[in-house]
Amino acid sequence: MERKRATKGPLLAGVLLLTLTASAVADVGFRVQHGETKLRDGVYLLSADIQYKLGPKPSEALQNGVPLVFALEILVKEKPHWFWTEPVAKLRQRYSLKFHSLTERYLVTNLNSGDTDSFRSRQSALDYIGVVRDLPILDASLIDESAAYGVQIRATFDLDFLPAPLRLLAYVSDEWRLTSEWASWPL
Amino acid sequence: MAAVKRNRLGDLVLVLVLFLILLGSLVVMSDAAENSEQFGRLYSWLLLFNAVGLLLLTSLIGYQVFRLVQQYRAREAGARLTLRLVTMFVLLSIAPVSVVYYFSLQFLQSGIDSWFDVRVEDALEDALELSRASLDLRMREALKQTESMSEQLAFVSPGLEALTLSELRAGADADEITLLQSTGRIIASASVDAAIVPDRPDESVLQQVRQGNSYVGLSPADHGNLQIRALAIIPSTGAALAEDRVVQVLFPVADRFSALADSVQDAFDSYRQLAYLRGPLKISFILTLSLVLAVSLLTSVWAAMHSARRLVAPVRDLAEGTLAVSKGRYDQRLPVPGNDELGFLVMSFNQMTGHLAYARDQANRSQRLLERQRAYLETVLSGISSGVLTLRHDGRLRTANAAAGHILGLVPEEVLDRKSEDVAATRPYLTPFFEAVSQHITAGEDEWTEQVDLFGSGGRQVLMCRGSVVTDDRGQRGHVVVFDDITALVRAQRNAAWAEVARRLAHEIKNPLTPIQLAAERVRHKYLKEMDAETGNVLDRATHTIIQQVEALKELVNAFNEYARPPRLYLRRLQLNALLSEVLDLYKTNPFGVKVLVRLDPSNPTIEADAGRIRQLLHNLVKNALEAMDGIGGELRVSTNVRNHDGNRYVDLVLEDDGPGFPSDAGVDIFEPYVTTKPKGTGLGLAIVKNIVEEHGGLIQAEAPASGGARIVIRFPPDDLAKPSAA
Repeated sequence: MERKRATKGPLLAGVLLLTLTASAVADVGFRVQHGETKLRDGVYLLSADIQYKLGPKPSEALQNGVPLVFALEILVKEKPHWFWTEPVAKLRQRYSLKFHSLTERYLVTNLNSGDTDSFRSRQSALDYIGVVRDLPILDASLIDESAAYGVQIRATFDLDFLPAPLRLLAYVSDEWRLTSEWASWPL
Repeated sequence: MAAVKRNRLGDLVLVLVLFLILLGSLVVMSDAAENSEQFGRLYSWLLLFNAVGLLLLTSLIGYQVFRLVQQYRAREAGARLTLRLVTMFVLLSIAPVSVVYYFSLQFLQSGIDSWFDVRVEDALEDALELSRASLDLRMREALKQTESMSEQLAFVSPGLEALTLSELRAGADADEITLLQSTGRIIASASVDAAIVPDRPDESVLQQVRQGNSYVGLSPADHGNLQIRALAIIPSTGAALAEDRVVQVLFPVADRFSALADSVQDAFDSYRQLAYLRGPLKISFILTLSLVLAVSLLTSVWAAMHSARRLVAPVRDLAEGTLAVSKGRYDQRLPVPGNDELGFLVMSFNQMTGHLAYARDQANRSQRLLERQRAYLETVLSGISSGVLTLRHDGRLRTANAAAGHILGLVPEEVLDRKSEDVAATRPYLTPFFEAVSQHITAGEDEWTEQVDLFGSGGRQVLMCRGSVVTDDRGQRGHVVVFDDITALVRAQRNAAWAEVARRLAHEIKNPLTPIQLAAERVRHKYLKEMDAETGNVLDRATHTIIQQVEALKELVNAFNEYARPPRLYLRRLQLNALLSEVLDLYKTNPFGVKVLVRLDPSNPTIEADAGRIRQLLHNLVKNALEAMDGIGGELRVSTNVRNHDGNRYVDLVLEDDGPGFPSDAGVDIFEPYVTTKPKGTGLGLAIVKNIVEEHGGLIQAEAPASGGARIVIRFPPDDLAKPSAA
């Protein structure tokens, strides 16, 4: 997928810096490359680019018919008290990735909408998951216009969907802990 | 003890509940490990819960072990036995559990491995391949159809594509036909369901097609059905169009075929997943098994400790109880552990300590009783007026009561445990007493009585002694001597005897005196005038002498009478000073030439007395004094004084003269009858005085002052205390 450059000025510079430092640490893992929100017709829409790169263990599991579930966690919070305020919006966008051995294609199912798409390669499936466009996250009428809000997103594996025997290993193994850093920007 | 029991029961219930909960969670966990839908999501939490439970159980055991080690180090009763039992129980429980664990592991490994078979795997792969091969035929057909469609579409003029596509779709029985530019932009589309947005191919597929290669592929469609996707580039028909166009046709796979392929795919996927999860599954099972082992082991260890403690508790109690008994504490009552032999043992122990405590209490009671009796005896002995001495078999004094000390003039504490000879040596006047006692003891008499006379500073003392043999608690012969001071009694008896003698004498002598006197007077009267002067003179002198002597005899007899007369007192309040002045006035001028000096107490004391008797007393004393100073001359000093002695008030009457004083012979009481220093005295004057004093409850004392002469001191009790000895 095409990477969208940060063109919105200094607001996104921090996100970029964050993602760059994160990419330097490891080439395997999840990374929020870009994120932005815009207000259209009274609804805040999220667009984000997330890089999903799997290590050998998750790849092997996928190849052996184990479905993987990716989750994109989205929080909208009032800004000055970033850490200890309850989010005004909390979303969890989940995708399931499964290898279809008969067709040798990768099936991506959006667990929130139920839509399924198939891809010839794993990477194209992952890239598909990694592109979020105009996802409605919050109705503008729900927030106080005078207050400042921030958006936080991160990508993670939902290990609870793994088969039980694998789940235990996944909990204790580094290869399965691919959660990205929180990326944040003002709403 | 009850609290300890409750505590133990609480521990037991706690561990039992913990064990059951852990067991339940392990059952659920083993189910979850098999990927059950129900508990699958709980697996991690169950694991955490079990870990916490195990930690709790371990802490409980750790605490028990810590306590046990502490008790062992402190060498507490029962700690060694508990440790031995715990070790034994733990070993006994570990051994079988470990064996079961080992074989379970083996079975687990081989059991899981046996699920997988190469032939099954191959068969599944072959089935999948077969599915693919059969689909391949259909796919080739679909590709051929698509390429044919693309050739048809090459000549369709712009604007008519949609119609053509519709016709083609119906003709080919396809789901959807889409005409696209090679960049992916959709030009036109025809679908079974007109409402559906046309499906766009992957970029990679488009890429392939752009390069001039047709594409055919299977893809899973909605609802689990399969779809054949075929793409072909539309041949160029000249320069009419700037860009290549592509046609994509989606063919359905027959439902039956699709279902079969799906089934094969599902079975293959499941088998593959299972094979892949073999390792983690084994780990999960081993983990669950190990947790079961740990829970069983820890619970059994705890149970072992609990049982050992329970088993040892009565033994420890017995050991502590025995220790307590050896230290003299008999009030220990141990809790009876049950109906078994240990219970019987503890019951017997309790009975034994009960008997011991009863015996000790009995002994204490007897001792207290003995002490009380002894104290009572001592009180009685100290209270009685008789002296009581006890002597050991070797003649040493063992006890002496207060009266004994008083009578013998010694302090009892000073003479105890000393030999009677030693006591006699320091107090020579007691020698007759101790000699008498020794003689009787030496003679081996069991009972004896003797009167002993002592002469000490207080004068003659008559003791009536009675002795008898007593045997002490060790079977040794001792002696008890009881004695009374009967000096006063003896004196009273003598006085009574004298009174009797006097009364008889008076009676016997007085009767013939009057006839003698009358006869003499008659002889004188009748014959004196008939006789001559010389003879008459003789008669006169003779009869005169007879009459005079008879008169003297009468006086003597009257005096005797006076002494022996039973007293009859008329007591009233009497001012002693006034009475004294009245009597002494009679003697102010006396034929003896004695000067009488009077000094009276200014407080003018009164006494309760018979005035006549007191007057007689004063006459007797004054006459006695004057007669003593006959021919010598001197002074008679009479005084009255009020004295306070021992908190009591007394009235003293003192008479002092300058006469020759009293005889100095020891043992002679001048107040006894017939004791006199005067040639003409009857010897009854002072005896009568003493009688009168005693009748008034007073005390008389004769003293010889160092300056010479004699002094008589009479002490009267104050009038409110005056008690006549006889009324």
